[in-house]
Amino acid sequence: MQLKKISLTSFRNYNKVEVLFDPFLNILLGDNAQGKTNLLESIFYLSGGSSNRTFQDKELIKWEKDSFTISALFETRKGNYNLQILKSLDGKKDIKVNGIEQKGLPQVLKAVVFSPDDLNLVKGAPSLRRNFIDREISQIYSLYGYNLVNYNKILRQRNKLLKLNIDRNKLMKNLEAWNDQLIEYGSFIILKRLEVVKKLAMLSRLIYRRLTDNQENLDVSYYSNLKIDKDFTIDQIKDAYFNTLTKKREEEVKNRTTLLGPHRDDLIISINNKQARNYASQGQQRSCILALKLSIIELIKAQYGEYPLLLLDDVFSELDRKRRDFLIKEIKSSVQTFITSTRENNLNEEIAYPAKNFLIKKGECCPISYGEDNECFGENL
Amino acid sequence: MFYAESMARLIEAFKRLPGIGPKTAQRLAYFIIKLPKEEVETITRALLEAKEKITLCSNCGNLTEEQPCVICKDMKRDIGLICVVQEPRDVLAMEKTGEYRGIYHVLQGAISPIDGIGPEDLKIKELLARISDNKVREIIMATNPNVEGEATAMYISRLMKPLDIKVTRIAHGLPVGGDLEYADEVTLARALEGRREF
Repeated sequence: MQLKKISLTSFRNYNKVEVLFDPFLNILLGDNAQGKTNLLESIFYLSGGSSNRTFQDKELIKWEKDSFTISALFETRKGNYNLQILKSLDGKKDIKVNGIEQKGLPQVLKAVVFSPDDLNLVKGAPSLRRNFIDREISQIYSLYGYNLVNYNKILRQRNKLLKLNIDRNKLMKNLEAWNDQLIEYGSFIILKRLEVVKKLAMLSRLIYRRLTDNQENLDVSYYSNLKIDKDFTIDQIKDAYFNTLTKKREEEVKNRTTLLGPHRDDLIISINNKQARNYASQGQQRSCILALKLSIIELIKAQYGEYPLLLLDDVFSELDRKRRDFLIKEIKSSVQTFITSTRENNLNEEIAYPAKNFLIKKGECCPISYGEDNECFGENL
Repeated sequence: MFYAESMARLIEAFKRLPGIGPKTAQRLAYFIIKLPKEEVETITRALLEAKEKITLCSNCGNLTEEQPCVICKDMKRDIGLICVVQEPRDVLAMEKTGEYRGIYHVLQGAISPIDGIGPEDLKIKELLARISDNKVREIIMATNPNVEGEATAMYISRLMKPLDIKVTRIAHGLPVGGDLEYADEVTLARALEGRREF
């Protein structure tokens, strides 16, 4: 898929900007705090209807404005799309596809982002890894997001119920009303996670071996607090869920919260059979994240027959020479890529094929040609 | 102060209605001021009269002027069949089908611990009382197809289990008359789950 054009109005620090992209490689250059990441964020927003940096859409609206719009022109194998999103401060969200109003964001544009925020993925809290996998599965299976939203609703209701001071008998009866749905939605989530992690493990292992010249082995597996095997069917997961839930009933009442389910699960990442969370070095962590992100790109390609957009937010400064070279080699001409960078790291010399360069300054974006001094802002930069 | 005091009060009053924002409230207020006095009186009377006369049916919980309501009084209806809904407006929706010949029970809500609504806040006890009184054969759970509605249906169906009454749940599925390709994924997946044998 290919993003041809994006127009932003009152988005983050952009007043009004329109950018025409190169079908292969786009390099966004500029000093810090000029709007490079904001531009990537707007592309990411198009793919999932939420930001990769915040859960609060209102943070995306420019100061003292009451709404933002993103319009984009892009092409997938299925055809051309003109997508328009308007979000206002009062929470209203208008989405138009080819001029026709839609209820939800159609999942046509896919994007994988790699940013410095991802560097905590290996060592950080389990919730980071769950969010990572949830976001990527939502891109792959359209029903996943719906199941996840409902699961979280049930979880909130059930946790609230467990915190109420009510008679034990009554509590048990009330809990039972929620258990069936908890198991129903939760099992679906676990099943999809198992499926995706299995594929992810295979792909990332290959990429990681190439990245380390066959020196190291990466293992990714799904850890669930229910006793389940990675080849379980949906019915087996439901049974295991039901049985464990029954066993843990007393504990849940004592702890006053839901102890079992996908919201407590985790991805176990290990390198050479050692848990990466405890033992991975800085370099290994970076390799590992790189391998995972590149695997996701392949997964999406396998599912949809075309590559998603790849958004690399200032990652080259985080990688050493060897990993940079690897990543550059992996950026295939078939993946439309967007890279942000400060001017010091000159990427054009490392990347074999021509890229379109943009200079971003104070919420303005304009194309520059590499090697020439450009005066698009009316001053010598 | 932009408005006269009574005008401001009127706008504030309209703003309390669901779906009415400040702009609509203002428009309604100006409209009312322009109306002839008799018309305003008609509206006021209608409001008060409705509020005074309409109560919940002591039997089913539907909105009514008489006790019990017309549906419960209707001798032609099948009293062995009770359709359980969340709100009085759901009764209206079911009645529009013209197909349903049983009677209703309105719960006046759905279980939602977050909103502080437990089973005891709903008309569930009343439902149980009705079942022991009458010769009820079947309970149709027609609560909303969201997580709270589902949980409510689940809770009631579990209560009914020892009573040996058939409890059914209305089907989720495809809208009639539409094309399959236009159905959203969630609806289609649900419809697939609830498929029937010919």
